[in-house]
Amino acid sequence: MPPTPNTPDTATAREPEELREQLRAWLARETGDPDLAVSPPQRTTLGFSRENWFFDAVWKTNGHGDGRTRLVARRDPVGSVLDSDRAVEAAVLAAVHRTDVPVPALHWVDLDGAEADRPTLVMDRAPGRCEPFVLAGPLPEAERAALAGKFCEQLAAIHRLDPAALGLGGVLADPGPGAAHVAVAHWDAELRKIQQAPEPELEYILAWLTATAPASGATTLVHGDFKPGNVLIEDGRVTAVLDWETAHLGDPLEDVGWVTNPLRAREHLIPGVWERDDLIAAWERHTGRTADRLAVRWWNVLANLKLTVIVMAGQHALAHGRYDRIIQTPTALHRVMLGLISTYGHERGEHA
Amino acid sequence: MNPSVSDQLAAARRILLDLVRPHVDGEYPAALLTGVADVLAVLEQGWQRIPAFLTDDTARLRDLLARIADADVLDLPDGLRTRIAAYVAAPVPTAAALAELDAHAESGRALLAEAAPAVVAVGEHPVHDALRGYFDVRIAEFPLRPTPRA
Repeated sequence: MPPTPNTPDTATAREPEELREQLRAWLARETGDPDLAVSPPQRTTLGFSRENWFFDAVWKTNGHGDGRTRLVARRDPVGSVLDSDRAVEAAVLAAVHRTDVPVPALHWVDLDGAEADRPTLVMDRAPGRCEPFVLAGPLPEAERAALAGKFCEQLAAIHRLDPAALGLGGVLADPGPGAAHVAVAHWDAELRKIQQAPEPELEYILAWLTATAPASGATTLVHGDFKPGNVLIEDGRVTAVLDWETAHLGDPLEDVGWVTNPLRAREHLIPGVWERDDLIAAWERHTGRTADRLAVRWWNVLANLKLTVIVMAGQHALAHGRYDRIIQTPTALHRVMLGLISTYGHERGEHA
Repeated sequence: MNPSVSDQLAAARRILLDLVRPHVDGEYPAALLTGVADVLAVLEQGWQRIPAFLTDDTARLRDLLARIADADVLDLPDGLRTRIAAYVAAPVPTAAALAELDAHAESGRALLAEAAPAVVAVGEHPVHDALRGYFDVRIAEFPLRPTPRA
């Protein structure tokens, strides 16, 4: 959705106060309490693609009983590294909330930006803390290993969900066995929207991905950005899985390829304790599925293509004054993808 | 040249981090400011290498394109061989005309982008190895690269 004409191009000092008043007016109508109070929203650094504003709201229900709720407003930015649909995110959040996979409760949805300038979801601020690099942090090794196992269990739990039974069949398209080709076509199209110069390395990688795309053995709900940075933890357990904006139906190995991306091993693995093979084997145990190792390697390449396009989209939005964060060159990602393609070739040779 | 570009970039970065950032309220704007300082550091370290990089990269690119045009095994798009031949025959701007050199390099990269799918399709072949070798050198030599945060 294009920004409304009176929307500021980027963050301004007045923005939090404007948003506070917008949220107050919106939630007052939703709750029926004209005296509803909202604390000053604080924008967090969490998430690169959406604005996340933490705030508290206090209101009375039926004229009595103070309720204070910790909330987060998740709003579309004017410019983003990623185009995604708040309607789809809201539908997935509502559906998954009815399962054992912990997600924040979604309270209010403004899909057309009528309330807060741009499409916005207001949901509970779930308990727990977000530690993107908890597996590489100072916790004792046994605790980190246990957490890594919990993360894998949650990912597998997502892949065990029945999207049709959750009512997501009408919301998300099923790509069937061609999920890998659909993913390549999607990110190719995203690249073309923001490409500013010839990219021979990416043309090579796209052609390679197309030529070697594996057939999908199953269609499941795919989170699309599963990582410790999108998980809340408390007392050694996962209290919420966040950031469902890229959720879609596809090959579950897409998520496995995402969490085994060598570039991000520090987020997902523990050297000598929780390695790539351990993660894949645990996922197989929890899902009852078999992960084709060569296909996972292919999805590793796709994961980095996705990251590359996201980085380039951020550079494009920054150059056009629609994004605040400076993102540096994706050249390192080229190196990773080309290296993975070589690894794939060696592994395919070994498997032949 | 004094003060040098590097000196001025370093000074701007120091002012942002040491003088401005302590007075910035809020996690988000502070993170943005750090990002700006990081980019200044990248420019400070790499700007001097840009002319030499463009000169060397363009020379390697022209060699590679000539080799691709000569490889009969490649099923290149119609007319691409002719356009590559014209590109390779054209004079190369010197580093003194940096914007022209940059535009010339970009034209060559556009030709290589068109040829890349045909190189993938041919599979194991010396011209494929040459393309991968070119990519590897370009990535290794690229002058603007993130520096680890202190």
